[in-house]
Amino acid sequence: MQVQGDIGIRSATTSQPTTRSPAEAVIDQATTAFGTIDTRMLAQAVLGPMLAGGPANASLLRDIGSQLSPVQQGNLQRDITDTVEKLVESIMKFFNGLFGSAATTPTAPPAATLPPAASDSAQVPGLESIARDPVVASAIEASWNASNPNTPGAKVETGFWVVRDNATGALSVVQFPSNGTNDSLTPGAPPAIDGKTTVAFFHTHPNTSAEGYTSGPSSADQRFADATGIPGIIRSHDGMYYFNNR
Amino acid sequence: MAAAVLLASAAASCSQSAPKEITMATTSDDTRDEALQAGIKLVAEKFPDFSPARKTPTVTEDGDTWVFTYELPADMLGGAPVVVLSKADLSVVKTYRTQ
Repeated sequence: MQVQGDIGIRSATTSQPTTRSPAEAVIDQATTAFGTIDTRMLAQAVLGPMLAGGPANASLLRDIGSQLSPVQQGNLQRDITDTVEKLVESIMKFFNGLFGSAATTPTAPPAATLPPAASDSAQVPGLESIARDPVVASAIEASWNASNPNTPGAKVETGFWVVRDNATGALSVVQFPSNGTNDSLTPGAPPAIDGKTTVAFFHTHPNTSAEGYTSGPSSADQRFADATGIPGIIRSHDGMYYFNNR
Repeated sequence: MAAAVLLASAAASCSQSAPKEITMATTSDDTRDEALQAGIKLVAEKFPDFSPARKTPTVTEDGDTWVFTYELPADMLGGAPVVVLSKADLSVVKTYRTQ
């Protein structure tokens, strides 16, 4: 009887009520008159509730992100980072005004700057977004330096897996074993970590064209991506390379 | 196309083990096997730092050339020397390395 009553109420209305999820509502608000999504507005909409605290807001970000294209995801990440940086800057200015030199700007490690994609790299926006993540970008920088790219005779390929926390979306890295030669590396199996998903692997190509080497992914690199089902990122002297598994 | 299997004694000498099976596509051009032997010899001479251990010498056809290289094990990232040979006289067209 209760079910019939529910059906009766709904059929009495002229149209089915549409239920918008919180994420869809935020995206609707951030969609401009031209039908495009303003990711700066999205960033502000996400950060407001986040600053108020609460684990539910991380899921809001994840839900929003799942409805965006890889390019929009990258733009949103950039806009959130920019907004947070400006917010911190404003806070520090405020406290510096109150306390003078007693309040000092916290010294954050400088963000690693990735070189641009090599001219002959495939364009894979989702992978580029992963590489630009501050944690991953710093790990790429460290791995590149550890491969001694400017020291002939001491060059060694290094790399790591990139894993994503299924709950928070946060990225972290799991280093490959230190078994590289100047032009090869054996990573082992992708990490199996509860609650985390391996989303990419990274390794260096420290040899130069002047030494007779190509810079992009080798057939073995591509075969490895295909076999593991995980896309790859490379840093070389010619820039970054991004390649999908097939 | 069915695959033919060759026993390459030269490959065996490079991998320091018993004669190794090399899978190659069947072709009417019998210079493929000569290209394989030439490639093994050229890589050993030109790239003495390269270790062919656990790697399989292969030859593929590319127009008027044979492309010789070593295939890495499936669990390995990296590259190998590549020697491009003219089909006509097995002269070296170019060499390079992948990584």
